[in-house]
Amino acid sequence: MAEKRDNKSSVAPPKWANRFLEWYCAAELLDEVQGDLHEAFYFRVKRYGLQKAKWLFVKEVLLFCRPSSFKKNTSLHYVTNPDMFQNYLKIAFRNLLKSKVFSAINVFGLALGLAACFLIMQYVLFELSYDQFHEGSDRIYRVSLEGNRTHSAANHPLVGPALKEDFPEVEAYIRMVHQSIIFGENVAISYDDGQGNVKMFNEDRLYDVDSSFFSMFNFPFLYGDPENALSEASSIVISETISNKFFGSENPLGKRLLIFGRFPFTVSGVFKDVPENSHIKFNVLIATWMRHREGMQAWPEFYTYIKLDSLADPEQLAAKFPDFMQKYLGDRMREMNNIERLHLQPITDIHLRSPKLTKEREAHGNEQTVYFLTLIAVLILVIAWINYINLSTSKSIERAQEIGLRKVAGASRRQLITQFLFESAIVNFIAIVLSFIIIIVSAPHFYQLAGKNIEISIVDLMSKPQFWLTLAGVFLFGSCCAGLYPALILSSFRVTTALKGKFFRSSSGIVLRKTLVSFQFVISVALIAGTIMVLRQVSFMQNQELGYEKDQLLVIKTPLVVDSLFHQRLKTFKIESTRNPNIYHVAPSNEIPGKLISQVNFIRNKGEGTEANTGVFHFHIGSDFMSTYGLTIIAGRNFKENEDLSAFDDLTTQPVPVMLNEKAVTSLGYRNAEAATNQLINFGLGARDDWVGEIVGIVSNYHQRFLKEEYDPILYFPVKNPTPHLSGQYVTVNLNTNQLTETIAFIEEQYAEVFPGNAFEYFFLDDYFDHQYAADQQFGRVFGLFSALALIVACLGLFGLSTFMISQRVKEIAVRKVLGATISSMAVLFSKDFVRLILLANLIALPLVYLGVQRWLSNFAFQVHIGWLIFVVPAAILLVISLSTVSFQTLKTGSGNPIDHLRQE
Amino acid sequence: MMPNLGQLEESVLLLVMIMDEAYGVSIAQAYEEKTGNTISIPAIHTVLKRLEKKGMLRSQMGEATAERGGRRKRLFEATPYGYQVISQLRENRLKLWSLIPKFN
Repeated sequence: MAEKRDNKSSVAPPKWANRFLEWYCAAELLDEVQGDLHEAFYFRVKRYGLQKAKWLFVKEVLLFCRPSSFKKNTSLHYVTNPDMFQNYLKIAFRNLLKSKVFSAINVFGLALGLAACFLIMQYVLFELSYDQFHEGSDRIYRVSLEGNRTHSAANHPLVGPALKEDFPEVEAYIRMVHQSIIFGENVAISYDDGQGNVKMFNEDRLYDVDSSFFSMFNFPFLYGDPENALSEASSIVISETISNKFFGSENPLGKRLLIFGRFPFTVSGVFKDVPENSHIKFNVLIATWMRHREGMQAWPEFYTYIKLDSLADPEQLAAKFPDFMQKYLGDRMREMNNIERLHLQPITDIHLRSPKLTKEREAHGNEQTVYFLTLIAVLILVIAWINYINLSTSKSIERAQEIGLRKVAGASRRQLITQFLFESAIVNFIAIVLSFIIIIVSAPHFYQLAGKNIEISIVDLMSKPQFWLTLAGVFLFGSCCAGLYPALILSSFRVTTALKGKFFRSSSGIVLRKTLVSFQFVISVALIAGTIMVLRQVSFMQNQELGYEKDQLLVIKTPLVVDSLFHQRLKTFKIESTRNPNIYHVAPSNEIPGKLISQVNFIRNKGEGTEANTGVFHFHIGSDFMSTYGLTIIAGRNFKENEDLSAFDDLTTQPVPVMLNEKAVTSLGYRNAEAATNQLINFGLGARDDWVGEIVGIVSNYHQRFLKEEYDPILYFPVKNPTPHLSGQYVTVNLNTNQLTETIAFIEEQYAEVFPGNAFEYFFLDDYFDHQYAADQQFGRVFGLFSALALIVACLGLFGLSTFMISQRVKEIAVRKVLGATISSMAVLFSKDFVRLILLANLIALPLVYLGVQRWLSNFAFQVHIGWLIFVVPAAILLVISLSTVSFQTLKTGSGNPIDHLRQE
Repeated sequence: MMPNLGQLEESVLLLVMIMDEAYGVSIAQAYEEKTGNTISIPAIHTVLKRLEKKGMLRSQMGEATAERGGRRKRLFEATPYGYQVISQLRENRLKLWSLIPKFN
């Protein structure tokens, strides 16, 4: 029995298609059409089988869906009826053209909102597209290393190979190590064409990788074969840009490049520049040092990626990591008193969802920012739609007579709704077209502002189905939802009152409109207040005292190719430079403020066990560093001129003089700076961690990195005779900024004399330092831009609404004027409503803003006070805008002769 | 003056004249049987409606059958005008045929 029923129900036309047919098909046609289709269906089941019969049924239901079969008195019928269609179109355009300002505001506001929304959506989609282009990107993971104090993006070199060996689900591994570990922060690459022309460029994105790099990562090649490009230790693979710099449009395969003039490499491939949406960014790859087992093995500096097979469960794999670590690194962990853990990060999560890791080479995006921008996009669109609803509803009241007449002529309510929805669809359509023009014109500027190097073409965008779906969604939602309310209001007019041309006023309509307007105000207040806070925090960070004078510091990079006379030359340079009265101090160092210090190790009080280890950053300086940077020594003394780390042979017995900053002193557990002076410490350097140092001086805290970060604990070593490695990377010049051009020319002259044949590269420390704020500044700019857009759209709405409101009260104004009211008193009267709404909006918005801003500020170690500005400025801006609009409209209407308005009937 | 009649219209009109019970599905099936071409139900309906409008067919609602889900069918029959058009069409055609030069 049950089986039979099953059988029967399965041999039936698709239900939804049947229902669809019943929905659109006119009743008088339904018998024959549906009957025929059903009969044909059962006949076809026998003949062709169920599947084909069902398919044919659906096809024919759709074929029948045409104007002649539609029910009368439905929207479908009216719009598809050619006569009514023509009439609707004509009336719609007449109405649009009748009040041009109004229509322009309506369409332009909507277009602006849509354009802003689409731009943001594109940006968001781009941010979400990171690293998706690798084949099987959902199976590629980066293995990060979490220790007691730090969580690092780079890992021990042995982890990659050992993971593959121990776990069958690991298909492949790739390790990358940055040039700074092998050569230094900057690498000089040169090409000699054999005819005496040598081209040399500095590079800072060179990686040494495993030779199978391109079998895991898909970066398209212009020349060479990705599979074998790195098979030789002497192979070098370069980007299109680098290739163009050296060889122009020539095919560079087989050409010889030199690194530091000493290490020869043969070009074996050219890849297209790494796309912006890759979290790994490199210009040059070699696979050389990775082949050697010795040498680099001590350092956890290897970015390690693994690819799992398609059945593997990353969580199960991660569960086995603790034992794995014990097996391979147990001894080391016990020795360092540091428990280390491995984590798997899906490669596609790294750009947006990675926790803050050390040793990241590139700045990553922020998921919160992305979602926040999406929210703004939606809000702007909502504001635009609210405008649309308000403006069309108010405007439509003027069409009371038209509606009355249509009703008298027999129009049903349905028909009227159809008409207004159709008009709304036309306006939305025009707005979408306009928004595309806005997008095409503004997209390049927007991406420049957002700091993204994205080349988008509208053709590219149109090839994506998501785009069309979103567009259709926005169009349908916009025309239906935003159009529905005005349509309902309009079609509900009573014939008799409508024909008299009387205005329609229902209290519920006014309440709704007021609610919508206050909602717009709430959004506007929130956006303005948010913008103010972001801008304030950014300027606070930039103007805060850093602990040294960053404005008059010029930093010169020392030459990359040096000889044994380096420190002599540096000394000469220093002595010669300071002869110029505009140059106050010159100091070499291996690090400068404005960046994360690359060397990290441990210190502890002498005599304590390794469990007391605390991390510090290493800074190699000369005695002149403190005066150059104007740092304060709060206890003890500065290094002496002749003190030198390299003078000590055995650092375990003879204490080296070292200096600490306040933060490091605190983390060692001293009460204050004085207590720490002349105390002995053990510190780690290279492979050992039991060297002895004596704290000779304490330096006051200063901002090594930007104000998003806390003070870093720093350990200073004295270096008398700098080498490029110890304290020789940078030379900081403290100078008088009055005759800057001459002074810089002078320094360049000295530099050329002392280091002949080397490029003179310099920058100002303040530029360098402020570079760290680029992301926050960009965020501020993008936020500001869209807040401004939202505000403009909201203002357009306000303008339209107040215009309308005043036009409704023309007679009232005339009567008041006749009775002796002044224009200003009327302006005050009419503004009252808006003032009330704005105050209400502030009440709602500000607590929300306060919470949001507090949350955002918690990203920063040093925060600006929230202050009173954000509570006053948004309200003031909105008040000024709305009061001036209302006053302007009152003035315009009220300044005429009252009789002109009163006579009108 | 000859009324304008398409080839499909002519075939359908003829089929209606041949059949006892002419309605959408049965005509479609007969069409497929006699000509070997397939045709969709909506296409048949369109042609029928057009012929009715031209006055060559008339229709009335018949009774329902079970396989039609209880829906009634619209039964068609040719009008005298329809017969007249068809026979005129045939005459015209034969006249033209006879004018083709014979070679044997």
